[in-house]
Amino acid sequence: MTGGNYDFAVRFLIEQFKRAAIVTHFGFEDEDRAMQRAGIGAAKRVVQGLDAFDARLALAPLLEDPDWGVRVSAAGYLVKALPERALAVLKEIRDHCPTHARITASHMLWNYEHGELDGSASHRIRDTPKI
Amino acid sequence: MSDEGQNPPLALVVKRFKHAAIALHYGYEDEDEAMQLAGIDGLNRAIENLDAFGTEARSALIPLLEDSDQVVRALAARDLIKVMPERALAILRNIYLAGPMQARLVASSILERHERGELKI
Repeated sequence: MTGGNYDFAVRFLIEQFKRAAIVTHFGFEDEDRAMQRAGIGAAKRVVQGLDAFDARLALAPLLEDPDWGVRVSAAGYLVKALPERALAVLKEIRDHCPTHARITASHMLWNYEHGELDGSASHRIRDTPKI
Repeated sequence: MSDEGQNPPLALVVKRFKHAAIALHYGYEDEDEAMQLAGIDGLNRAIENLDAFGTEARSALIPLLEDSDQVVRALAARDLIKVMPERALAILRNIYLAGPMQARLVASSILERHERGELKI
């Protein structure tokens, strides 16, 4: 499927993915499980929507998004489709990011190295150290 | 949550307030109930935490009255009505008249509840 409706639907899904990733990231930053759960659930639904169009690669531009949380989420869902780029982004975030996206990237890389990250589920709800 | 028995620092509470307001905005935008509820809970917690600092602490929300996200602005105005009613209500009326759709709906609901005396502030 291509054309106006396809482009519109995919663009809308990408915007939704960004919002979901931002909320997930807030959830990690603020140790707020409801926000983590809401963001992760929304991102999964978006990716299912993209996969229904066979359009997961439309997430690729988000690997350069200015928001660390958006970048790390997109990379998590692209490790299978674009392993080199996605893993490079995850390593960059793990090594340089000042926010909790660094921890998310570390988890994803660890999971990838242990065969547990296949691009279908990029996040797990987690607690972070107490303030 | 980690706030067992201790209040997080004021700046962190304000940051959480803003995050929760954005989550609520996105929840409205995407008709995502889980995100809306997470946002509402986050806002309630942030206000409880702010009020635990004392009566002056809500003033820490004042910078959010100029936030680029007008839903954040509207929700900050709601929680500043008792601190600075004239400015907060003027901001809400401006958003109601000229803001983007979701922010107008939020401002309109706040103003209606305020006029009916039903707004818990």
